[in-house]
Amino acid sequence: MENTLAVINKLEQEGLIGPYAIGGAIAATRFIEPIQTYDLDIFVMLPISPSGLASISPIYSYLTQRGYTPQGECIVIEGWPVQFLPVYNQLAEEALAQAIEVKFGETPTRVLSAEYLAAIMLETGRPKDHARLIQFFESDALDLEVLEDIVGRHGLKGNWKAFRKRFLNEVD
Amino acid sequence: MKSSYPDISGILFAKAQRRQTLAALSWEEKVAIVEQMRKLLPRGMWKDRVADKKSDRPRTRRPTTA
Repeated sequence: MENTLAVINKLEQEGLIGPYAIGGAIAATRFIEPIQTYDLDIFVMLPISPSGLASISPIYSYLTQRGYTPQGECIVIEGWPVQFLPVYNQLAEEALAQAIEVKFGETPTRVLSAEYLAAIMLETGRPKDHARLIQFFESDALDLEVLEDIVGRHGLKGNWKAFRKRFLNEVD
Repeated sequence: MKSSYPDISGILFAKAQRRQTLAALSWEEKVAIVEQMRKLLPRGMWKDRVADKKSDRPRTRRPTTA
């Protein structure tokens, strides 16, 4: 994983990608027990081309030239299938902007905060997102005030209310 | 006749404690565990198992791309 992150840092240093942060299960694993996953989700701001479009093609081109191979929707970098997720809405953009600077081993990287991960899980709303979110509560990993502020600003109050009612046994 | 069932509260308590212990590991240690899980059950293998069970075919041991 550390070698994978070093390659991603190089992509950023060389301007192939803008700021990035780890999201998904690997980010969640910072806050809760290890969970099964097959890939490393990288939230990323892509540079805009002269034509005004953000494209992931230059990243794939750069990486394949260096021997890394695409696999499904990912590209395998130093043994880890990596999925680059260009920021797709305001919540993801803000989550990336507020990402935490950390080190994995000796390698600097960024990771989404627990509260933004939780908000994204509420937004996505798959059964596995709900299951993970419950684990965040069990691990006492969330600052509820921060989460509720994010939820309120990104139109997720309904999702939040439904989650609390269904999984935290809260009544109206 | 009333059935009597064993008390499994001790098992549940031990499981909860184990989860807490795992959650308290460093991020690097936890990612190392995730890497082990990936190796034990490569991508596609789980899907194969479900499909094999449904069609009653012998299980393939070769991972496939999902």
